[in-house]
Amino acid sequence: MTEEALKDLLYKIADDQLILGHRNSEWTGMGPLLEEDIAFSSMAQDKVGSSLAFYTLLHDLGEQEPDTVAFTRNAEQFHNCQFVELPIGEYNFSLIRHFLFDHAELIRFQMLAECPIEEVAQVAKKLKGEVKYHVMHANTWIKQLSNANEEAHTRMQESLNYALPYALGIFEPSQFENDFIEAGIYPGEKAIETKWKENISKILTEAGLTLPAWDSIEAVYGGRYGKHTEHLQPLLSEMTEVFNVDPTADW
Amino acid sequence: MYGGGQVFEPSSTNNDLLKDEDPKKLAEFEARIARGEKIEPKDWMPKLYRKQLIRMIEQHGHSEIIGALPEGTWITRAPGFKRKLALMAKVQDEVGHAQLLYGAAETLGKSREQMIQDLITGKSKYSNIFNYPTFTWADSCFISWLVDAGAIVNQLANARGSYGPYCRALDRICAEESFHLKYGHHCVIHLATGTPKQREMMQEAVNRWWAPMMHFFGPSDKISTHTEILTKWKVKMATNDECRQQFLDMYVPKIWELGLTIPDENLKRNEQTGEWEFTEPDWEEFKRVINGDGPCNKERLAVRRTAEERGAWVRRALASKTKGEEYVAPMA
Amino acid sequence: MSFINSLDPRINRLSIPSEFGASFPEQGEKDQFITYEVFVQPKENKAFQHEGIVHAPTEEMAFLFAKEQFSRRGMNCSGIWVIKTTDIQVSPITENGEDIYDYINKEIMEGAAKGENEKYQVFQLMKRGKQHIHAGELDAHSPEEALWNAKNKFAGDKPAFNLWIVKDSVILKIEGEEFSDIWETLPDKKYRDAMDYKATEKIKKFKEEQKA
Repeated sequence: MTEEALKDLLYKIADDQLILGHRNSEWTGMGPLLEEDIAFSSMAQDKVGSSLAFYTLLHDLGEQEPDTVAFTRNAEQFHNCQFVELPIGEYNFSLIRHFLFDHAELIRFQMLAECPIEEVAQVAKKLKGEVKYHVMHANTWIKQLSNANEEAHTRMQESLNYALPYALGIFEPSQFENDFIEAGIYPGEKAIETKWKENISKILTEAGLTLPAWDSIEAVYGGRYGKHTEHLQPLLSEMTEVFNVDPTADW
Repeated sequence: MYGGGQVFEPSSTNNDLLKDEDPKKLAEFEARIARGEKIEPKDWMPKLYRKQLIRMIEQHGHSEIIGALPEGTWITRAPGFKRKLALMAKVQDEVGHAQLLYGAAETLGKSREQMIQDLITGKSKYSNIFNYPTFTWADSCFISWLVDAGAIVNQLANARGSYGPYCRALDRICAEESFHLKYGHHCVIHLATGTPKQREMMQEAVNRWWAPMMHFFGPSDKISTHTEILTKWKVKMATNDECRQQFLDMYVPKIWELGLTIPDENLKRNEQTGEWEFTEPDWEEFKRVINGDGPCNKERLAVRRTAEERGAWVRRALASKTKGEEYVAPMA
Repeated sequence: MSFINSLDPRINRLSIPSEFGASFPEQGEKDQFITYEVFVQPKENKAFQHEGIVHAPTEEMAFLFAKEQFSRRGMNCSGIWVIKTTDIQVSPITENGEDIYDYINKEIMEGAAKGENEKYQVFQLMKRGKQHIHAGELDAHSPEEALWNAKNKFAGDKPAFNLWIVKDSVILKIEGEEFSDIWETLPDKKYRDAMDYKATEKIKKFKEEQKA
C-alpha cells in the first residue's frame, strides 16, 4: 500500500473528528441541562483531541504541523463527510448525529486497533476506550428520550430520518479501498457499514424508533473528496479567524 | 469564578430573623464555628445563616454559568489546537462549577430549578463583570487569567468558611482554577510578548477590562454595609478591600513585567503602608450595571433563557422517567 | 424582526429576538429530577470517596453525568458508584471529637424489623468538612443491624462523625476490567492540567530583550 493511500485514510478520520468536535463544542455552556452540558463538552474535546492525534500521525508522514493543516486549509481541501459539518440544529439532531457517528467510529477504531501499521494501531487502541463511553452515552440517551413522550419521540424520529442519508456518507468508499483490504489495514468501509447497520438497528429498535428500508435511502457522498455543503466554509472561516490574524504568530 | 460584592440582605430583616432563634442552640452553633468545626447540612443552623448562605452560594453558581458566556464567545475561534482544547475545557469547568455550587446550595433546601428560575427571571444576581463584552481573543485571555485570579482570591478565602458542602465545592473548584490561571497567564504572555499586533490587542483588552476588574471585588468596605454577624459565622471571610488589595499585590507586578500598561496613573504601592493606591472606581457605573444597564446584561440573560427554553423538551421528556420519585435535598 | 447581535457567532446562529428576555414572566413549576450521590475510586485498591451529586432521571444517566463531572481530571480513575440519594441511610452527626460509634448500641439493632440477610456498604465521615469515605462492606438483616455490625467492624482509634449505610444491591457500579478502558486516555488530557502551561522561559527572554 502506498503512503498516499495511508494519508487518504488518516486525513478523512482526522477531518471528521475535528469538524464534529468543533460543531459539538458549540453546545458548551448552552446545553439542555448542566450535567449533560459537561458530558457533551468532554466528548467534543475528545473528538478534537483525537483529530490532533491523527494529524500528528500525518505530520510524522511528512505533512505539515497539525495547527497548519487544521487552520489553513479551505473547504475543498477537507476530507470529512458532509454529515459532520451540518449545523448543530436542535439537541435531537446533535444527539442522533453523535449516536450514528460514534457507532461507526467505534467499529473503525476497533478494526484499526488490529492494523499492521503499529503507530496507527496504537492510536486506535487507545481511543476506542473513550469512544466506548461515547457510545454508552449515545445509546442511553437515544433509548431514554425516544420512548419518553410523544414530543421527544417525534423529534428523535424526524432527526433520524433527516440524518440517515448523510450518515451513510461516512462510508463513502476511498479510491484506495482495495489497497486497504489487500494490505489488511482494515476491512474497508463496506465492512464498517454492515456492522454499523447491525449495531444501530438493535439500539434503535429498543428505543422504539423506525428505521426506513436501507435501499430507500440514498447516501450523500462527496465529502471525502472535497465536495461539501455550504456550511463548511463558514465554519472554517470562523474557526480560523483569530489564527489568521497572523498565521506565523505564536498564539 | 466569582467576585466579591455579594448582595446581602439589609440588616433590619436580619435582626427580625435572629430574634426568634433558640439562644441555647445558637450558642452551640456559634461555639462549633468558633472551634473551627464545619457545619454540615443536617446540623441545626440559624435561619439567617441558611438564608445568607443560599444567597451567596447561589449567586456564585449563577456567576459561573453566566461567566461561561463571555469566554464561550471564543470557543469556536480559539487559535490552534492547544488553545481550542483548553478553552473548551475551561468553559466546561465553569459549567461544572455551577453544578457543584448549586449542589451545595441545594443541601440548604433550595432546589436547583428554583435557583435557575430566579436567575433567568432576573430575581437573583451574578457577578457584574460578565456584563461586559469580549471584543477580541485578548479579552477572553484577560478573563481567563485575571478575572479568574480575582475569583481565586475570593474563593480561597471562602473555602475557609464554616459550611461543609460549600467548602468541599470550593476545594474542588480552586484546584481546577489553577489550570484556568496558568492557561490564562500563558495566553496573555504569548500575546504580550508576541507580534506588534498581538501586543496591541492585549493592551487594548487591559484598557477595557481594568475598570470592571476593580469593580469585581465590590464596593469599598467603607461604603458597603458592614456584616459583622456574617463574619462571626464565617460566611463572609474577607472584606472586599482585602481581596482587592491581595489581588493587586499579586498581579499588578505580573502585568507590569509583561510591559503592559494599566490605565490608572494613580496606581502604585505605598511603600510605607504596603497598601495599593488607585483612582477610586466609578461606583455609580457599578450600580448602574448591576441594576441591569450594562452593555451585555440583556444578552446574557436572553441567552441563558434561550438555552433553558431550547432544552425544556429534553428535561420534560426525561422528567417523565422519574415520576413518583420524590426529590430530596442531596446529602453533602 | 430584529435579533440579538452578539459578538459570539454561536449566539447569532440562535437568532434570539432582541426583545427576548426583556421581561421575565414567572413560569410554572419546573421539571426536577432526583439526585444521585457519586463515589469515585481514584485508583485500584483505593477506597471509594464521595465526590458530590448529579441530577439525573435514571441511574444509567447518573453514571454518564458523574463520569464527566467527577472523573474528567487526574491520571487515573478505576471506578464510579452512583447511589440514589434516598437509598442512603444516614446516622446522626456528632461534633467536638465525639465518635458516632459510641452512640450505637445493641438496642438500635434489636428494635429494628428484620429483613433478608443482605450485603451493605458503609461510608464514614472522618472529618467535618471533608468527604465520606468507603469503610467497607458487611452483612446484616437491617440497616440498623448494619450500623451495629459497622461498630464492631470499623470503629477505630479515630472518631467517625457520621455514617452512611447503603444496601449493596441498589448501587450502580461501573468498575473493573470491563470498564477500565473508558478512563484510559485520562493521562493524555494534559490540556486540562495547570502543569501544561509553563512559560517562565518566555517571560525571561522577553525581559532580557526589553533590557537590551
